[in-house]
Amino acid sequence: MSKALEDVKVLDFTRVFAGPFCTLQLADLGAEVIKVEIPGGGDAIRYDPPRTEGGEGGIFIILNRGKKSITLNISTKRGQEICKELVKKVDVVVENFSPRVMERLGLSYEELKKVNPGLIYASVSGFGHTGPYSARPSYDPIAQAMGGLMSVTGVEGGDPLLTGMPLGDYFPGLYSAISILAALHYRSNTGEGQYIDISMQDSVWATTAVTGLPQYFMAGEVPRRHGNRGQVYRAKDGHIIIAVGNVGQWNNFLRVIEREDLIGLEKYGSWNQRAQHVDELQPIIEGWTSARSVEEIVSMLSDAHLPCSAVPTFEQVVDDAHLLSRDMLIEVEQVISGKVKVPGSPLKLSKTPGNATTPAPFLGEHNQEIYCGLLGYSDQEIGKLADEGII
Amino acid sequence: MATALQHIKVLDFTRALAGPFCTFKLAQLGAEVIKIEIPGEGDASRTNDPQTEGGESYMFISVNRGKKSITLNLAAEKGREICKQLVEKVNVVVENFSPGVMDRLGLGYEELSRINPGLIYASSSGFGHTGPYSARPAYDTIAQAMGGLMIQNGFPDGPPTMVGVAVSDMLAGLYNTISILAALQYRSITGEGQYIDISMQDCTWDVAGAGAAAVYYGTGQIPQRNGNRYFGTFGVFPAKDGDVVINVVTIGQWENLMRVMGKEDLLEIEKYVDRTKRTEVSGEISALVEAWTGERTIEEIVKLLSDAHLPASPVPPFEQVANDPQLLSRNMVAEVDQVISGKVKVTGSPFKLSKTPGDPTLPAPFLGQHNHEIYCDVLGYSEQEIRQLADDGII
Repeated sequence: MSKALEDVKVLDFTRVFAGPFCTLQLADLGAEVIKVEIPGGGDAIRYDPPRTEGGEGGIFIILNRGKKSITLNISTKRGQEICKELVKKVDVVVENFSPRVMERLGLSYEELKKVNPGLIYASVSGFGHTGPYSARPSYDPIAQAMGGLMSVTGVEGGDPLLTGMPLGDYFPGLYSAISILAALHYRSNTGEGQYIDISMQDSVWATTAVTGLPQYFMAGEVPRRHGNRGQVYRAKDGHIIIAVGNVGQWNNFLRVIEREDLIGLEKYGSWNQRAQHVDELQPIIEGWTSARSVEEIVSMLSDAHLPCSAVPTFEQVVDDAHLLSRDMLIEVEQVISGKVKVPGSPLKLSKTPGNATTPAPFLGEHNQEIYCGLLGYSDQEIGKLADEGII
Repeated sequence: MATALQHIKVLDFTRALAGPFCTFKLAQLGAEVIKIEIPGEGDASRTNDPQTEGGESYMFISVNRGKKSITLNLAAEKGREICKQLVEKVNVVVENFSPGVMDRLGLGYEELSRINPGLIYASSSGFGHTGPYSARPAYDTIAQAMGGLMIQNGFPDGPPTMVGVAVSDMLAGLYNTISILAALQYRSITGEGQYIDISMQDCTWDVAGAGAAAVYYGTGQIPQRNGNRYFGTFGVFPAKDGDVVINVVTIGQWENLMRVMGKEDLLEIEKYVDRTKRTEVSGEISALVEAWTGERTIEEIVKLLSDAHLPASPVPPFEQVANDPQLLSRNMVAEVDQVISGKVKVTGSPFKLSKTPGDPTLPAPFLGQHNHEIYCDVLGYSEQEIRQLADDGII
């Protein structure tokens, strides 16, 4: 199978979540991603639990499959020199250190574009490299809070809620992947590289505010947390989602729940109007759902062609026939740990699909290949660099 | 300012949110996006509340900025003919109808790639175009559930909870954008187009499964709803006057936190020193931090921790976020000038590329705003012909 990014080389200084999630997408699409790690330690989450029997971190494997790992101590002068030799050989640099770290190391965009003028250089940070908060440290929960996502997630009257997974990392990962691909396109037309400055806060905000901002700036209303209201209902034995859209579906739904008396009532006629009357509708709908099992409801609504769904448990999701049929749960073969299950790639391109089957590298797995093969060092030289703690 | 995608033309059949969010991103990066809408009514989200005084939906504006709108009745034979003429002029087609709809109209990938062999054709749907659920209707909430996200979201003693924004729609939009850009890259090398099949369930699972699958397969434990606390020193803590976020991860940060809290006596205790061991006594540590935060205000805590270079933050309400000095300084609240509604505030672009930044100032079109430009200038119809087409209900 061909790869969309097969001629693209990425030098990857990212660690933890946001940056690696970006370079994961690039690797899945076929880019050669060379992950630069600290000799001896590597990415801080390399050994985070849960671990395989071989001691490799499960989340590390999922976020770093398909990449190559080399070790390089970029806080030494020699390490920085080698780094610049590598930069000459690649198209893209990605890093997610705090702003100014790369600058202090002499590895900023300004510095690196001198050795590679067409370079695309992407930085991912908590608040971006400009503005009053740029020096503040940040992690996913801070980005979720400061980007407004927490303010709209959770039940009405309850506390703001973090999402159950680090969307504050994943959104900037996706936005930086998009930016890099757009910059590659621009470069193929003009030959010019450029700098990319992705902020976790920007990324969360740009996604949250699509629905929240309208209310706030137009109607002067602060978007409320509404938890599950209007879409998720209690059933006898769990929860059920009922997503009724147009008026035809709504009328159908009223027939199923035997409330034909409400058909034609204008105040419930459209999605907008039903949203305004959610307080009245909630007890009517939940009165019906709570007397029935999830299975009964799904069967009745599906027969009436109404969009609905159970809320599957996690075990059901990892066993879901549909996800499995789309290769969304696959296995990689780790050198150290053997077979490990990971999510597949959602990038379903017919000729160049995202390939998620290559394993995550052990620390320095590709030192030989990159230092000897790409940069032309001898075995003896890399032996010496290892002894000196440079690689 | 240059734009990254300035030579790219997109024929956009999308409606509602997942599809339009994708083509909005392409438009922001400089692609010419031609949105095809039903004559007379247009995208159903044009009528969503709230609306401007001019009667334009704010939501619609929000995700359709920077696009051109033309009307075309695809249910009519003549409409489909015109559609194929348009396909010859573009690089990318994006649609988010239910699977099978475009095929029935004779506008499936097979058909259109015969007219334009280099075409990139992206479909975005609830469950994708293959597999046992492909015919099922889906909206964002259903994808949040079926992708395994909802079950992990919420407080440990509460129900599975929806994320407060249509996250599955938007994730599908972002993955679709990535796929289209990757396909453009492949096409620039090989000249070949291809078909893209994005599923909202797949995209949701990709983020919901990344951490959870590691836990489930690594330990056999079912991932739980963690509410606001990932582990003992990482999450949201109750202050005297509200909530405060504290994110302490590394050993250096942990030691700093203990100093700020006046708990230097804990620094030597082995179970607290190693990061992995600390997660084992997470509950104990949570209680310790909560006792300390509970006696202080948000402001005090953020100041004390920030002075010690520790990541901390309040949980600002939406109105504060919308006026946040950092977001404002990065132009993340912008204004567009709508032909009908005048100035409307919108989100800025997170695509901060130095030479080709995303443009947040482009307005959303009114229905059929670009009929003349596209039908006359691009396809070469005469004024008379497009009037006739309008009279016939074709455009």
